[in-house]
Amino acid sequence: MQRRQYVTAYIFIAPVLLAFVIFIFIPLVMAVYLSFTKYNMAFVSGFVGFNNYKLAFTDTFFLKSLGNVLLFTLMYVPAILLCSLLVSVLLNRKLPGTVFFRTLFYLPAITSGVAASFVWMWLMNPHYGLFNQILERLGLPASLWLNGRFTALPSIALISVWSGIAGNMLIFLAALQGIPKELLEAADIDGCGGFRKFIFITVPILSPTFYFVGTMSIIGALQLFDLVFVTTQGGPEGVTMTPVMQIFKSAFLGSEKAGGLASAMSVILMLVIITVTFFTQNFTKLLRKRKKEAYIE
Amino acid sequence: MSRNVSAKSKKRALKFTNVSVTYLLLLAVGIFMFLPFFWSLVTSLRANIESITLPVSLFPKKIIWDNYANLFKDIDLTKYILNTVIITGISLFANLLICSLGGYAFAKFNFPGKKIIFNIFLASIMIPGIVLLLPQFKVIYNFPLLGGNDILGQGGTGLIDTFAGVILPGLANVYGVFFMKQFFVSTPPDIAEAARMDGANEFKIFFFLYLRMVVPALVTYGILLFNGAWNSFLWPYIIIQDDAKQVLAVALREYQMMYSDNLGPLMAASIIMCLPVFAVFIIGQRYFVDNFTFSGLKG
Repeated sequence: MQRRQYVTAYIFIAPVLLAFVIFIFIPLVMAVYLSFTKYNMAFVSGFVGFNNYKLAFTDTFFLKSLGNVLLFTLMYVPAILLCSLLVSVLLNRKLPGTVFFRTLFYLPAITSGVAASFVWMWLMNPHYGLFNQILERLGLPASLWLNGRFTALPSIALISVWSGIAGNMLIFLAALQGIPKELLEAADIDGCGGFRKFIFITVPILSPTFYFVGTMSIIGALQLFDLVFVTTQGGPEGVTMTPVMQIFKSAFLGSEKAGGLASAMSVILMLVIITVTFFTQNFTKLLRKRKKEAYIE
Repeated sequence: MSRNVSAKSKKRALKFTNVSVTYLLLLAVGIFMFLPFFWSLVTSLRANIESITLPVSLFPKKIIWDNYANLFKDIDLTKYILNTVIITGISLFANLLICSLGGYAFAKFNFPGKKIIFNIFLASIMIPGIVLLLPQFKVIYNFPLLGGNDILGQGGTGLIDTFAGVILPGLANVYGVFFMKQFFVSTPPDIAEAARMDGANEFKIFFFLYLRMVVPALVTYGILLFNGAWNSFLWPYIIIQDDAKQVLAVALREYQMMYSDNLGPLMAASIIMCLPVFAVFIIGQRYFVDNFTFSGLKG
């Protein structure tokens, strides 16, 4: 009986396990292997040792693109955390019409990145775009938005926040609904105001969610691609060039398909992502420890 | 007494401003979220010349459908829509089946290696997608015995330029397994035991008893899968080179490259791209399960 159950379980799990081995496990091993080879996207023609890594680290475009996404992460992640938390708190008040607003807010999350990029490019058009028209109406100077050296990356961040709020808002909303009601009622009885309740009850309970959303946003931000690929293609003057675009370019565009170099770049990017997530994890731990110490003192 | 009343009215006034501020903020966020849709709709429904005449008006002076007609004239949109529908449909059903089977196994059975496999799956979520992009391409390119390849995967181009090449990597869907698992966990075990007593086999128990209990979860996850497959861009862009097999997202990108000044048709294209997804989402929403987060991740 027990044995038969094992067999059934293995049969049930076989399809996903097979797909996992073929499309995640083997590729992961292969990613490292390919980064040490000369690979033209069709054939592997020999080992080259650390040559691809040397090339990647001396490639100024690649290094600059790493700097760009780090800067982008610094703009995007705090903004997305703050905005999605704020929106989820608004929705959690459960006023009439909340379902309507929740549906409305969710639309950007299910919109095609390509389609959204077209529209945002049009909204941000320096000559006829709606945004500059509004700025002009308000008596403010027009902006170059995606075409400006200093405004391109913040513009990309703005669009990313627009499309990213919804997904994170739902995660925060689920966490907010998990806060025990007795806790909030007790605070009410003690005469705690809404703001103090938020700071002393909601925020501490939400901190694991905060950490989760933050980490996922960082991982996503460092792999920025679709949006930039369609809107700026890395311009102006390379300020929006991202590592994933560099990887894509080296591997698939141009006559020389440098799959080995691209693999090395993707391994480097993975290491950067792991380092950054590790760093933030320890940073939050440190913060918590400090807070505890402050309490004890 | 009067003091009490004034305190009460003060509290009521405070609550009133609180509610109004909430609505004002909701409205502001709503405008920001909806503006791009509104603007693409407006631009797609008026003549191009009207869109670039300053100062631009918020609403079309005259509603026309020429932009939509021109779009269909410029490119064979029906073909791309059909391709996207086929790919989305197959990957949706295959994913739901595979993830339900896997999730059910994790939720209902004990088997040697369960914990190890579960933890490996869990760890794999942290792998950034970009690392897998090139080697997944290689796996598709060197897929043995298909597309002119020999048993070692040499000689041809494997699953490049096929729908299978677009769909297959998406089936390694660990998220989906966790998602389905958490719903199977909360289904009652005694029904399966009773059915086993009656001699029903495990597949019957799964398909006819348990799968029906998690229909809301299937709908919810189905909608998410639909969105993902319909909007997917980079992977089909890499795998499909033959224009006859291209998907909508990539075709629209190519269209934009060719006719970047054709604002009206371009916005019409964006609207057409969004409509099916919005329709599915809004219709399916009432079946939505609240539990969106992956509490199934907790072992």
